[in-house]
Amino acid sequence: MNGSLSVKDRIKLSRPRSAVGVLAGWLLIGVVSLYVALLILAPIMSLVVGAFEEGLGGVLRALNQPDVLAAFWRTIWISVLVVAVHAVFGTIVAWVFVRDRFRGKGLINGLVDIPFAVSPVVVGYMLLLLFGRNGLFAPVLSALNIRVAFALPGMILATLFVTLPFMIRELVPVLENFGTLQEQAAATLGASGWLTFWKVTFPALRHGFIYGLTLTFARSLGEFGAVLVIGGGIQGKTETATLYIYRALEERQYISAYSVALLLGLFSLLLVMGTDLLKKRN
Amino acid sequence: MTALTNQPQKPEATAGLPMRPSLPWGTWGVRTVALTYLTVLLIIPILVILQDGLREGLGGLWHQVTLPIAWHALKLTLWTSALMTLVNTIMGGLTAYVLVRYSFPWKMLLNSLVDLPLAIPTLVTGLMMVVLLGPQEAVGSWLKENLGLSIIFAPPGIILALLFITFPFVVRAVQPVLLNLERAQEDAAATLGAGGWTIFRRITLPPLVLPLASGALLSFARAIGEFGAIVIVAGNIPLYSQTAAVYVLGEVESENRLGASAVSIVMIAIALSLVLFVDWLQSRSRRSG
Amino acid sequence: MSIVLEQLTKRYDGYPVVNNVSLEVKDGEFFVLLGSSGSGKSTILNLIAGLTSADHGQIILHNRNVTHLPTQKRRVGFVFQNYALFQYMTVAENVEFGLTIQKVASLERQKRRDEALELVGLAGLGNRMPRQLSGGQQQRVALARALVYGPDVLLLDEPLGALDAKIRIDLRRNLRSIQRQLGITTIFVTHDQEEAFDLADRIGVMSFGRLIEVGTPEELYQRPQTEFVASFLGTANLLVGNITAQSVELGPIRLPIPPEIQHAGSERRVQVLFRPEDVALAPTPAELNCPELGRGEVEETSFGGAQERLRLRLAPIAGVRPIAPLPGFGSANILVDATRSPEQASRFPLQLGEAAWVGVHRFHALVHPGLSFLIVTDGSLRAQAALALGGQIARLAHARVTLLGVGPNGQAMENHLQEARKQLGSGLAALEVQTSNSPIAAAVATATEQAPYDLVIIGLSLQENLALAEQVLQAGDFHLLLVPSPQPAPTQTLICATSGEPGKEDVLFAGRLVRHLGAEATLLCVLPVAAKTPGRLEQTQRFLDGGVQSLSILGVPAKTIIRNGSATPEILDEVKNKGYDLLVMGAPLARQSSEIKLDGVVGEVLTSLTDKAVLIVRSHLIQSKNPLTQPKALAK
Repeated sequence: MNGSLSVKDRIKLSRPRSAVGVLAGWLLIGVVSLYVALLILAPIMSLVVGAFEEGLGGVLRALNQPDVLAAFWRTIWISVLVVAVHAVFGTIVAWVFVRDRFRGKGLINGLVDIPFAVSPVVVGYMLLLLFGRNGLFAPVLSALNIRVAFALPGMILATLFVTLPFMIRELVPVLENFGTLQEQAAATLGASGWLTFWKVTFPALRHGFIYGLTLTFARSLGEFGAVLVIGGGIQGKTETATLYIYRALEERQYISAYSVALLLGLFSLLLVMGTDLLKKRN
Repeated sequence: MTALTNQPQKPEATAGLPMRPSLPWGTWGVRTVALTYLTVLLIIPILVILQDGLREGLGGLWHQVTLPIAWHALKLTLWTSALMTLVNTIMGGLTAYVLVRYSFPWKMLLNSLVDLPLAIPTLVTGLMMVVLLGPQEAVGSWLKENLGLSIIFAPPGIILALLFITFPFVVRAVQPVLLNLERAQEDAAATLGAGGWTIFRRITLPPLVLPLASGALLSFARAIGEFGAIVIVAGNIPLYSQTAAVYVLGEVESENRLGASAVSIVMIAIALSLVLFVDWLQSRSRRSG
Repeated sequence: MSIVLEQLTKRYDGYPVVNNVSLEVKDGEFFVLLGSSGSGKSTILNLIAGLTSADHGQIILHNRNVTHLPTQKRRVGFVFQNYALFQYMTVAENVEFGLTIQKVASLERQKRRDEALELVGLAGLGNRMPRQLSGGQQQRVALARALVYGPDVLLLDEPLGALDAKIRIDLRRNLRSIQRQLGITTIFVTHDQEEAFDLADRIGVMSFGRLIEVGTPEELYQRPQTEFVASFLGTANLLVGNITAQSVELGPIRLPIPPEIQHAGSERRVQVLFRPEDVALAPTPAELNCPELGRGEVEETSFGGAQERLRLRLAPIAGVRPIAPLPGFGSANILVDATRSPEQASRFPLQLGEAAWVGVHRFHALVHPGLSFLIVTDGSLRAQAALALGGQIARLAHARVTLLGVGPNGQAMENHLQEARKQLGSGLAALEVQTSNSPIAAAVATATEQAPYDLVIIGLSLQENLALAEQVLQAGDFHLLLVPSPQPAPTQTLICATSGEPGKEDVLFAGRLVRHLGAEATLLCVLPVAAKTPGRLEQTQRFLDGGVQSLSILGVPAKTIIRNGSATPEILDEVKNKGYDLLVMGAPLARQSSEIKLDGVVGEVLTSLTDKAVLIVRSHLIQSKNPLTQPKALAK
């Protein structure tokens, strides 16, 4: 997935070109670069500028509010839990998709991508229908005195739904690529299934696994629509970082909103870029 | 000679005979865990919303969907997504081509910028757009005064936000295919006297059609459901700039369950068919490639 | 015995990739399984290692029945073609892996690991990662890993296949000396003949899932039992002649019977095999110093390093049919391949187009000629079905095929035969094409006069043309397979032992054929409702059990069904309700009369079936010399 070229390709790139060809090439490069700069770079820069309107002090003041800190902790707490659940079950699902055969596997395989396309608002709403005041499970939940909607469990479920594909989609190709040969070799040497998994298969999946975890984590940090609907964004109770930004905007506390957004964006960015580097090094 | 094609698979395939994988707790245990997980997380919620939306039958659903505000929201969602997809397909394809086929000083930077939208929360994306182009901001007010263009709190803002969010999809779908494409084929065409445009049209483009299509459809599917960026950028004015996702949120908050469920079902149906279609496209290209 | 395989069968999608293989490998033996790709040799290794499970049969390693044990408990050392080293472990960790699992103490483990690496010549490379090693080195690590924990047997699946030629030969020598040193029983799978000859104590040749022949390299090369092995190993000159009590006859040429052949019987067909190095070339017959074949003209020469290769064209010999090298289309000439040492070549130099007398120093006779099929085609859709099914059975049975084009000679027929040749193409022992514009029955009669056939295959629907089937059956001494519509190779055979008298022979010939297909058989007997006496039932059951036993000797899984009622409807009911795809019936042939009538139950059944292949067994063949149905041939 990276644009690095082999030496052979680079030699090919230095082939003779006509003057028109060279001009057209630079024109293309220019158009694409300008597009990316305007579409992606400019908004990011403007956010940075906006956040620092009152200098670094303004940003720090904005971040150092109890509400903001609590929201960040809540976000991280939810994300860690979600990552842990997907680490276990996502691996199992990926394994089943690659190694098991049963009728309907193809369809289920396709369904896994749905969270990618279904609106987060709809996701939150589906959970409300299940766990809300008039929801399907409402009688059970009230009997057991458990709150899911407008509470953390519901937000965790919502985030689980939204981030379902990441782990699986990272692991499936790695697992397919790995094949079964080394596992067979381990079996002829007497290794049991578990031992083979931990000693032989898992080390090969390690990088895909870590990458899947980071993507899941980054996505969880930034989830907004689904946790808004199921969590309600109750200040001090179910407010995550994104929900705080939303509220700050509505209350016209722009510096606060920009600062939290900047920090959140930076955080996910570092996560993803870090694992990207890790991936490239291998 | 149809009779011959009926022959059983030649044993060439025996080298890869399906070996029973040695699963930790046996195939059945693992399969059950995986399927239960997917059912609880994925299938039950979808079934529940289907049941809720169809409480008053298809007619009831249709009535809710065709209420003027809902209908407009759906239409707005579809046309902005479609327009965005068109632009994204062209620019994404060009970007992939430039990244694979040219070498220039800031190529590495450009290549990593492509992934940025994947890492940035969409709510933050919306915020960035507002900061850059909002009516009170420098660029936005200049555009408004000199060109009469209002982008934020209007449909163009929606398209712009969607372009940002979906930019990686087409690029990352096309790039690997283009990288694997044998340069030798283009060279062969060149030695046979084909010009640059002919080579591009006849040799380079055909294998890219499938990845372009799946990247475009993924962008479209993702755009239909987008909420975080749009809710900030669009202004959410009913019958003008309110998209389907925002409409659903409004109905949920005003406790109009039937309306919320109906529009949700339409959105899920679109998402589902697109996702399954892309899945099919990709499995087809994998098989033929 | 270290490794014993008993009637091992593995099906994949109904197709037998390993077909009834029995084998015994002695203690410390280096056994090579040789076969082309897809012949099932690797699957046998996987079966022994438990990496795939057998559908039928047993695997015994050192007197331990491991058939149902998981891989982990079988104590086999396995070396894969693509090394299968654990990529995320060092070389040392790879080698120690098996010992770790056996919980060998750390010091002992290191000692044994170092010994093993020393043994394969990689001492000191323990800290490398697999991908830092060359292919040859990786395979050495894999060998060390497989040997270090002391497995009972060593299984090598084309271990040298992915390596360069020179490294391959080095590692081959190394492997052989390590194996001798450790004395470990070894099965080595390869498609490389030279490798097999170089390494093996004994070789087993495989084709289409069957173990064709087992022997030392010398036995298999000089004295093969089957045409397949004769032509698979090295270059072969194969001619069909006759053997009598006194001599082997190639037309007018009389050759002494080779000492290894025990033959006291009457005259029968025989295949004469001689290797290129056994051919003598001289300017006069007298200088040959061995029996002469005739005068030939040099058609091809090539320089092959240590020897000169020649191909000579000889005039046709009456009554002799060449099998290999195959003469050109429409030619009756006999081609002979010969090799000579540079010394011989300098004594009698030969150029292209020059003539020489051709003689044979030494030859071998194959007394059991393979099956011989005649496939009749007229270009119709049904004929296509017969071609497809017949070709497939012929491939599985290693039968020689003669394709008989019947109909007006012309471009259409020519094209059709060309196409059919291509379609039958590979995997056949031999393929010959004839044409005739007589009616089908007459054409078959002419063909069978020229050469005997075991089975004639025709695309024909009996419903429409029972009379034609009768005429064809009358044309000669063969069994008849009728294919009414396209169908895949049969997997479920119904053998109707109903009509009493021909029963046993139906069963036996069907068994011969079904064995090659890897199909299952069901024996059906219909008793009249009236004859419900207990004695009759027991007698019938005993008869059927006998059939099942005969079939199981042939390696065909079989079951029995007895139905009560009227024969024809009961048989039809059985055929229609279960998924049989081949029906076997005995033709009630009057022994004296030459008039053949398919009447009674057989006729009724045959005319009611429209879409099933039917094998009509000529019951009185048991009396003839045909090896197909001779009990002795069956027991083999």
